[in-house]
Amino acid sequence: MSVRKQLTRWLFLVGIVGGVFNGCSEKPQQVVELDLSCLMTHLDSMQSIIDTAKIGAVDGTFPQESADEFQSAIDELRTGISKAKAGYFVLPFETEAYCIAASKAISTFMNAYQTTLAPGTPAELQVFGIDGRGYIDFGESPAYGGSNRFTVEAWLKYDPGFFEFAIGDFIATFSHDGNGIKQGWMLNFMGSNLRTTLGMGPQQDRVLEWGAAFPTNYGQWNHIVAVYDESLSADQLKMYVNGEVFFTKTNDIRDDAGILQKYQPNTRNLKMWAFIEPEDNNRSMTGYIRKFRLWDTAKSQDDIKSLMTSEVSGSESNLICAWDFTEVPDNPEHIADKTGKFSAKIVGQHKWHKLIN
Amino acid sequence: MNKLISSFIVALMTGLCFFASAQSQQALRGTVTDETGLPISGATVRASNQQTTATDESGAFSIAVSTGDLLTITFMGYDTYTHAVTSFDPLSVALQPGSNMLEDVVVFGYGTVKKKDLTGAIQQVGSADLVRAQATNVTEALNGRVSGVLVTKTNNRPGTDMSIQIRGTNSFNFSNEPLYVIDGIPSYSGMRHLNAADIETIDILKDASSSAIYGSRGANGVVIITTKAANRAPGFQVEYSGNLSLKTPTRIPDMIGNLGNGLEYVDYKIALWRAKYGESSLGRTDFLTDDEKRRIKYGEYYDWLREVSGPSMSHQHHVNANGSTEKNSYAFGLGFNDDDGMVGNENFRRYTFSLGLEHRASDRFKVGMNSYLSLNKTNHGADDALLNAYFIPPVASPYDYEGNYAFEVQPTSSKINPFVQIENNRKITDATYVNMAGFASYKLIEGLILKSQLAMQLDNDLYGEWIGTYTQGKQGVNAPDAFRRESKNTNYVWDNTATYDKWFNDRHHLNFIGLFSMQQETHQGSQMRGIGMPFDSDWHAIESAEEITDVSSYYWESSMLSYMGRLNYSFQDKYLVTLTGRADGSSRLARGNRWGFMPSAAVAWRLSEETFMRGGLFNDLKLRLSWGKSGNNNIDYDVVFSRLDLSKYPIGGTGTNGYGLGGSKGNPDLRWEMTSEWNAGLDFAVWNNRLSGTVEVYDRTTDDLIFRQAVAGLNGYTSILRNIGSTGNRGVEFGLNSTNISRERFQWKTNAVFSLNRNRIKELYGTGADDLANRWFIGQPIRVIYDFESLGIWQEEEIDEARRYGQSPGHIKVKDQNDDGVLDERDYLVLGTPSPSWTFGLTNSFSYRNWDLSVFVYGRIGGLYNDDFTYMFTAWDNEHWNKLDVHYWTPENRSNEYPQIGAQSYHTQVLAKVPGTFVKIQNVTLGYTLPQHILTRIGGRGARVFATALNPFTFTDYKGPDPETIGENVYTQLSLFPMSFNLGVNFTF
Repeated sequence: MSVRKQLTRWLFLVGIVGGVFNGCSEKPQQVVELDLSCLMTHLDSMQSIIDTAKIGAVDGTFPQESADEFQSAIDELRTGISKAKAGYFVLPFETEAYCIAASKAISTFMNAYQTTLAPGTPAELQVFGIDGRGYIDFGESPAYGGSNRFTVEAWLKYDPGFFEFAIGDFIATFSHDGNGIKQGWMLNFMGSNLRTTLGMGPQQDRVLEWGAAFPTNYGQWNHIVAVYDESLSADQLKMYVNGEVFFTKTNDIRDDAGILQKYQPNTRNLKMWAFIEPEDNNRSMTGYIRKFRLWDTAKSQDDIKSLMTSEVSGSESNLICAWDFTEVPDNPEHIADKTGKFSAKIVGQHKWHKLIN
Repeated sequence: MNKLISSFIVALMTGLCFFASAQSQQALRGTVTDETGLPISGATVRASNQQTTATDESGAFSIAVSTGDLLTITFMGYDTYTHAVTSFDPLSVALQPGSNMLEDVVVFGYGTVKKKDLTGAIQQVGSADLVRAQATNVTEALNGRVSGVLVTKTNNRPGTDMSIQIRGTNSFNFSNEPLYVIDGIPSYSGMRHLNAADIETIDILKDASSSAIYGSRGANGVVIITTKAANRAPGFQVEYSGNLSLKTPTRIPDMIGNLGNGLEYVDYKIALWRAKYGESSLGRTDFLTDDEKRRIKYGEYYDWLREVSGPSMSHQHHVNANGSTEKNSYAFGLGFNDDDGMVGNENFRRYTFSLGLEHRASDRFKVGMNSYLSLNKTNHGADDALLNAYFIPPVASPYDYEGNYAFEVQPTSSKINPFVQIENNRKITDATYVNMAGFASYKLIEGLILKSQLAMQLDNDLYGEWIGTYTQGKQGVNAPDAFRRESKNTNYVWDNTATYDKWFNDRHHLNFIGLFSMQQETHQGSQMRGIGMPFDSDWHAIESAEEITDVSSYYWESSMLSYMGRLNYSFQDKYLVTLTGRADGSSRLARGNRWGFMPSAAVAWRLSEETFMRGGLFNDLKLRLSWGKSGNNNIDYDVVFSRLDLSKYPIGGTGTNGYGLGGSKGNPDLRWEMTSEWNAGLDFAVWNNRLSGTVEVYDRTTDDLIFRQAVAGLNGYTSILRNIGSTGNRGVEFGLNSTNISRERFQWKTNAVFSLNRNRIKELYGTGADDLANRWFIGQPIRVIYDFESLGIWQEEEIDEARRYGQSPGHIKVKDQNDDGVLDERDYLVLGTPSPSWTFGLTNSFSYRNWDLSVFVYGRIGGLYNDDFTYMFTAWDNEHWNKLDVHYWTPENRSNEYPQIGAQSYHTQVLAKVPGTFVKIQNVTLGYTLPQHILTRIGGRGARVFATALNPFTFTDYKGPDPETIGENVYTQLSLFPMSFNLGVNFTF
């Protein structure tokens, strides 16, 4: 800073404004009185759970690795309590964060309780995508990328707090290399919205992305469909929820010269996953999936209403792939789709919940 | 005998009276100055006893008066001063710029005319107003002082560019900037290189009948700048004017947690993360770093905007020496201006040199020259520095553990330390402007003067930019870039005029001017960028870069040949007619279309000179009506050609040049965009000229607009330029001057201007159809805001309706115009235009004894703008960046203006649509003119000291710093709004 500027600043500070421009001060902040009861309550609960839990490798027990993880969470909570008592924390959110982590650890541990269902048992599949714990890997195929027309159709349900990161990915074959290439499609959640994201081009860093407030009928199934049809002059992207139009969006993505961009199928990373995005694993969610179908045609609303209540055999024209997750598979590492062309596997933490009639 | 006695008595009485009178009369001495303290030479001092005298070159006078006599002092352009003689103490009189401007001379292109004889819409701003405005860029001084003129600032940094629009927008694709004529030379660089102290007058030709004299360049109006040339008072005098300015940012936007309230930011961040990522996200290590938590604990917050900005000092000085003898006149001016910015290294420095010489070889022949040299250096500061200061939250510190500036101040954010950015990013423009003109004139016969003037204008500029490794762009990783761009523009004009001015029978006044003019301009430049610079060499060693890109160069020239004739005729000073015709031939158009003829006609009727009006209310009453046609020559030089564009083809591993047809087809049939305009005006003065004013009403149409019309890929072209569109502007302008109080020691005067303009598209492609892609709609202004209509924020009781549109409470609510249940582009409508509905300026001037006070208020009312600043800092919900502290919606605290923090609402673009209304108290100046007895002691002729506050108060709803720069580019133009305190002096020796 020049001498003149310093002089000016000094003159100004002393002569005119005085203390108005205090950018920084070092006075101690008045400390908020913290309530540690939440921490202590959670510690008691966790200690009680781990003390009474049966650890083993059979049904009716908790896996050893889950127990170890749970014990680490208890240790972490103890550390938090020590920090709180030592005056390390300033604001309530810091103790609350430990309480929330403890609640999450309890939930995760309880979900690890082993109850093996026989293959073929009618059940609902829950996949714990949050924190990258579990996902469904549908394999790799150029066919997943779609073309200028395609339809993604799935049944999904979720509970409150079903995603934590900025974007909660449901199903995607989406590629974004960090250098501007954005290809493929993604059904995802953000904020309070359920969205569809499409990589557009050929100019880089373009996406067609739209959504609307997601259904909050927690614990109930929703039939979710995304349709893209490049041949239309408007409303190329549509979403339907339970057969009703959820939103329509006209492609307004242009390059710097004003040229309308087109959907770019995934040619770089051919993976298709559910509950965790194949490239950015932070984009994840926890939820249930019942059926999933991918079509290389743009289904109409009538088609969609019909599909809601019908099964597919795998031989339908324009059907790329279709899976039903309605009963426990013989081999979670190899779940064949109805067309017979693809195979999926469930990776990481998941749970089959037996259907109770 | 009686007769003899009577005669004796009468003679005796007369003698006694004369004796008595002679006994009471004494010499009253005094000095007359202008409002800036400079002496006025030649002012008429008249006493009610019929004594008359004039002030000398030092402004001094002496007149024999008696107590009770009424003294009047008059000078052209200034209000008449009246004084009842009660004592014989020396008088010190400061004349104020007058409201009775009828005798003022107005420059109207290739000549002058008295305002009372004016037939068109021309407004003049004198040097006093320009100096009083204390604007570094004199363009800014026109804001609110000239009706119909809208000045747009690019930003508030020193040396910023400004643009002028006169009576609205005419052209879609080409410049709407008026023609600037500086001492007779068309200028392509505006007025920013001029020092206000060097300017005698600025005359703005607003209507087409006036601007038609500049033919194909006059469609957007004409701004004629006349510098102080060698035509000053006899004798010799030196004038000094200078001021010292302390500038400080005002209206610093209220960011969350600023002014030491860092906990506000923590609360905001908790709300944001909870909404965006859920409760558990607060436990993540990137929510708040340990350092940030420590600062929160100790209340160590940084107000980044106030840290990165600060008060600055500016000063300007101007010396003018001028004088005149019987044969010669001369004027020499030197100016210096050093204007520091408030952020980083922003600075504008200008040196000006002016020289005017005139030699009168005989009564018939004279020669002379005017020259103006301006050296400008603008340090634009650093990109991103201020922007990052907005973004970085108060819990981040600019310092590392050792007390040095850290590069990254938030490990989780991409925004780098603005202080480091300032040190490593430099953007500087060095510019030189030269105006030179030499003339010779010869009076052939009485009334007929032939004049030839050869003028040259040159402007050069060199722009350089250094982007170091430790910048936002290079992220502390990549090697530096250097960029260099040079341009050189020349303009040669040869004007030859014949002026015939003659009165016939004292009733007919004829003024005719004929012109033959030749003009040639050249434009050339080059640029290059070096990527991967090995050492810090600014932009002076680009050859050392690892890679050199963006290399280009250009040259083009254009010429024009013109013939013009203008006839002014008045009969009995009551009936006035002006006829103008100009033919221009331009090389920018193809043969067959090069020549265009632009006629105009104007009539005026001075009703106040009619016998039936004499002795009535009106001191002056004049009706004017004019029509004119002018062109827009601001078209590209190559519009008639189809270009071959250069492309690089990789052949054999190396890039090979190839040429292919460009996307746009030239059109040799193109003609100028032509503007025709009707203007009706009324000039009046009543109550002994205490209230005077002007009213203008106009209707302007621009036809043959040049459009780039899309074609269906014919022969490889995607578009072709055609003359097809039409636009219109209609408006009303008022100008009022009043002397509210006029006492011996106290005066209060008011000047007000008002402008209203309505712009609309009359036709686009000849089909009557709108152009939705470009947002052009017939019947609407050229520039419109076309989007959703905002209805506020969805509230909790509207949850069901919100769901119908896929929205939630706290989200932005927009109107479903077609009520189809879907919110999409079909629900867009024209919401407004980014142009004020009307503008006004109001100046109140008070004087008491030697003190004077003036207050200037300026306002723009209406207009809807798309403001990136408001959008960026209210709509963005980046997890690590800060935003404006406004009323965001929460379930408990329902706002209907801004959505819930972290709501991820759609249609956030409506937040950017903000009204531009503001009222500024822009200039408050208190001055004191030194009394004559003090001046005599210190050997001066005139002196005035003054103190000014610039921009002390602004009234607006705008959330950014300055509503006048609303819509500025936040990435390249972001700036803070200065409030200045100036101390100045004008001194004449």
